[in-house]
Amino acid sequence: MHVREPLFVTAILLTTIVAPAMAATTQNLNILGIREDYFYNYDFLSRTASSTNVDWPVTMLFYNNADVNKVKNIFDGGIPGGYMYLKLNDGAGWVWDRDTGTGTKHVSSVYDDRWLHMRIYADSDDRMYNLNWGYYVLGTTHYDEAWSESWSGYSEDAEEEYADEASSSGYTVYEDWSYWYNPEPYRNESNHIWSNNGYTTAVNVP
Amino acid sequence: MSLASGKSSKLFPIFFLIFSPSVFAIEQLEVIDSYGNWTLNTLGYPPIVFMGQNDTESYTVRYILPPNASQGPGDWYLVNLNFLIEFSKNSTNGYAYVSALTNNRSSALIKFTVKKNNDSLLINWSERNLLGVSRYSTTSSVINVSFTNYLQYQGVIPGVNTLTFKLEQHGDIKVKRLEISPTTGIELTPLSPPELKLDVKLPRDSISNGDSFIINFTLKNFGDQPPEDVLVRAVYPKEALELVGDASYYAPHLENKLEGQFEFKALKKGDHQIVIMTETISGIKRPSARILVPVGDKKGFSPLLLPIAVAILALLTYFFRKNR
Repeated sequence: MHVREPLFVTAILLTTIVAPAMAATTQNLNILGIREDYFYNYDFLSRTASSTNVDWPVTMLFYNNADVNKVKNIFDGGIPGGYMYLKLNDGAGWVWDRDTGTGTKHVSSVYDDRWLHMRIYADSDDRMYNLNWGYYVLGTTHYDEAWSESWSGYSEDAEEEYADEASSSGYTVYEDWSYWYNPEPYRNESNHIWSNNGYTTAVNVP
Repeated sequence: MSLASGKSSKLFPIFFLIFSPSVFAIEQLEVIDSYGNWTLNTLGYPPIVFMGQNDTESYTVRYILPPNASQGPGDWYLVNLNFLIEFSKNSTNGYAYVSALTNNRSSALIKFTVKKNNDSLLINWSERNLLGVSRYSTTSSVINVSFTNYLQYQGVIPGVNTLTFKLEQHGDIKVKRLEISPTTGIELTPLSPPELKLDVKLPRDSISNGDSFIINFTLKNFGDQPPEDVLVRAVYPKEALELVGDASYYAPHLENKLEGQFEFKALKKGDHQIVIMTETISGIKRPSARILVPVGDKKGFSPLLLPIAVAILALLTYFFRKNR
């Protein structure tokens, strides 16, 4: 079930962090806030919240009754990736969460072979809670080139593929539900291929 | 967070028509219209027991809220979820969730992680509500849980509401039974979640290098529930300022307000930033205040004072000699 309409209260922009252009660098790193909760709108290569240390934009929100393991169970298994990090605050202070992601899924086309990959983040007990979103977790999405990982990226396409998969598994999906200030027009930075429209997809986990 | 149960007004039963494939049945639904804990028992439902036969099992009860019902700001709805869960000793590794949802919006999600440890089970579980997270561990296969949380905004609607209990099992584990206690229910309370506001008073006089000055603060809880483990502390440039008084203020439960003062001595000229920070383990907004303190040159003997003093002395001498 795909729905394209406002659903509930979204996160608001709190802080913008601007940095000079370098590899794996964004001009759109922000802190977003929803009630007492805050989080960055990109994940990071390490525990340094810097616009020169980003991996991929946050493109997925799993809400209502979600938990990291419950969300990973929705999608196909496979080989997880390396650790990446997201900094978030469930109202009790900033913490770093790390994740290797959902098992990657092999996607084949006439053009190339690629792995579909999503990392899921929450704080230490694998879920966060507020009165608007209930129990929720956040996700970043991308593809990796299948055989040598000669490139990674296309977050927007990967987001759409996960939205389709969740929808076909019976979950209610609000595709491109809310603007989360992390648009990335297509560009190739040292085989880190940016592509994101800045709108996050919300999935209701019952 | 529990309130004394016992309702101040009578129950107003409403008859509600439920259609089922085989029969029409009349279900009598209770109206939650006064403060207190409206248990399954008072709502007219027997204890609910899940036998863990399927990966996902659920059971739904119904109740009615008044036409003006909403989650805050005057009245607040909580779920009180009390249950016993027993895991089969043949379980190995996996996890289980027990959740409670009102109108399909979750306000309780208890996660159990089960590991086989030699011949016994090691079970860890965590409970997260609006105010924070609690973690537990046991080697017993039988666990009692008592959990309270504020419902989601969309979990409260006027008219007929649903309360669904759900058991989910993942991995190689088996829940032998899950008993939802008859004391489980919906609580209506006037007690709002904690809400902190910080007020900071700046020093009135200009500050010179070497001066001491005081920053007073008042942290007030505008909510009805007290936040726990509240700490107020100052963050400042140590090369420019010295904290000479108390470094932090602490309240285990902040019922009303916490007041205090941070006393500093200026060590260096310049504009120095002091941040008064609030910390709490409760999952609420933690206010902070940033203060810019300009510190000027050290007060001392002005070079202008000497000629002025000489001039005054000369005048006094002149008048003294003239009048003699």
